[in-house]
Amino acid sequence: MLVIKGLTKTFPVGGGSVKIAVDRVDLTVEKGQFVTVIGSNGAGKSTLLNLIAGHHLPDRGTITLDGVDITRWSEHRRAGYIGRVFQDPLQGTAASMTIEENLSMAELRGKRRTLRRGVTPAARARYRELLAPLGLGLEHRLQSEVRLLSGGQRQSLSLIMATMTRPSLLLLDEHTAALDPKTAQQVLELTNRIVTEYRLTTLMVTHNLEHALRLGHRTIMMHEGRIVLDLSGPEREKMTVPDLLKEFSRARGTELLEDRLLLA
Amino acid sequence: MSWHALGGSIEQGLAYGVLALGVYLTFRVLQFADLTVDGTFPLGAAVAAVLIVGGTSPVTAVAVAFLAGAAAGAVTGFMHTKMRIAGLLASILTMTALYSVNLRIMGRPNVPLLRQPTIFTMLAERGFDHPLQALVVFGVLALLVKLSIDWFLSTHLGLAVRATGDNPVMIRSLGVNTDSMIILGLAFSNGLVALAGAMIAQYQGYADVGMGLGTIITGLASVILGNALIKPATVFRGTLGALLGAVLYRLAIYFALSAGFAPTDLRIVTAGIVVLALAGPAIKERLAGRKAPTDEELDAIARASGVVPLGARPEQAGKEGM
Ligand SMILES: Nc1ncnc2c1ncn2[C@@H]1O[C@H](COP(=O)(O)OP(=O)(O)OP(=O)(O)O)[C@@H](O)[C@H]1O
Ligand SMILES: [Mg+2]
Repeated sequence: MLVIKGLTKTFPVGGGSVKIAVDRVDLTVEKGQFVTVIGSNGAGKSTLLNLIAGHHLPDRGTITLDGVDITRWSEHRRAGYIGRVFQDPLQGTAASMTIEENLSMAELRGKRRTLRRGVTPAARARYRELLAPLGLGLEHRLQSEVRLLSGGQRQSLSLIMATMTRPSLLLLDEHTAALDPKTAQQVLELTNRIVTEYRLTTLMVTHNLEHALRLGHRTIMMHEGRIVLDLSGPEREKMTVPDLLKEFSRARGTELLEDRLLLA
Repeated sequence: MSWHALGGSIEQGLAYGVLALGVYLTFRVLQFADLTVDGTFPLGAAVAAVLIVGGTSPVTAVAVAFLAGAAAGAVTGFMHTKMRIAGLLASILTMTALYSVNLRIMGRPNVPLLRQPTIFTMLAERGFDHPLQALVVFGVLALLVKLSIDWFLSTHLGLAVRATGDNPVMIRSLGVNTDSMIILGLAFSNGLVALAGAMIAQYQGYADVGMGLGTIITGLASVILGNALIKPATVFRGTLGALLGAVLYRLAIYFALSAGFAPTDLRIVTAGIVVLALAGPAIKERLAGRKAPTDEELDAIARASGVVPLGARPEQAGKEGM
């Protein structure tokens, strides 16, 4: 379970003034809950995820994961419990290393790394089993360098690497945005399968409202650093994309017209 | 051409191969241009020479030299990671400081090892006294170092060091402290360079405070030369290339000298080799002038990456923007 209280982050923008990227956010995500996060550009979605992952330290507020206060933990220490997939498929894997070496590194998430052999035959068998259901044929290419893979294959591998140790929390920041629509759909389905099967507590940022409503249990909308809408249960089930856009306009206090234009 | 001198070049090449392997670790694996080695090479020589003169066994002296080099590498790593000093600058600072340290250790600019026990005299006493002795010693040592690097880089710890050079964001997101990995890699690398210094001091019969000048360039030239011949697709090939490059580099110097180059001109030749090798891809592109791809080639590439030409593209469904 993730509990966030009063989380705030500002960035200096020069001239002595600051930009409030995340503004006193309170958020509780139950264990196993899959939350989709939406909001316009600059709403603070990525900053929120970066704060949770420890990439930034907050100005105020606390983050508690499974009852442990991790607010001041270093990024790499938290990473023992938090899996991440980035928007850029190049960021989630080491390009010059093989698929099996990448998986081996991910398998040791948060554990002490020793002088034991990295990729053993037993590990190789495990990786084959893990990759086969993807239907990408990666299980036959364990010894290929990752840089030879396509963006979609790399992102699928990143997803496997982020989830294979079943972390306490999974953070996905527009992880399908850099892929072509067909590949994005495949990676999204894979995400849904893994998150559901492992019952991972998940925050997924997306700009695709349909995905946001269709996947997961709950949708939160951010605007100017705050959570302005929090949908779950039947209310969320009834919600359509146009409804959501209306809600969005209301939250933002602007005319619907703008969004109609965007929709066209 | 003298076979004796040629053999000597190969001996030296293998000896400097250990140095090249150290440079491989920082330059290729960590992607870190580490000038510390210009200080740790004479540091290893100084530590070993002073210990041997003081009565320590040559083997122990080499081991201590390794540790001294590792400590110096760790200092550079610490400055870079914890004090946020740019890598190149941090290594120059350590290198500069080491000049004073090396003079302190030796007490004077040069410590001769004539009539002192060395690894080579020890082996001769035990019956291994042969014209090829040094060649065998350096060959075995270089091979052992190569294999130990290959092994290290395949362990869990070694994989994390490689990933730190390749993609620090990714390996940090898997819970690894990249600062520690950088310090570890620099320590290992400089330990090896100091070890090479300790061995070469015994081979040539003295340690000299000036012997480190250009160490990094020698190492880089070896790694780059070797990798031009053996593509470093795997660690095994990468380290093999570094070793081979070190030998080839010595041979190139030997032939340059026989061709009448003055020894004092060698540095500019070496620098030239490194510049050429580093600029290779850019030069090739210019000289060849990019051949325009044909329509067929373009189509093939497009098909392979799943691109559908405009017009044939189906409407993107479900992509409302916000
Ligand atoms: N490192 C930074 N330094 C300065 N300002 C930043 C930094 N990171 C984010 N910001 C600012 O904080 C605000 C929130 O940015 P953030 O990246 O969290 O938005 P987002 O919701 O992820 O947007 P997008 O949908 O475009 O990814 C923006 O105004 C951004 O300019
Ligand atoms: Mg963002």
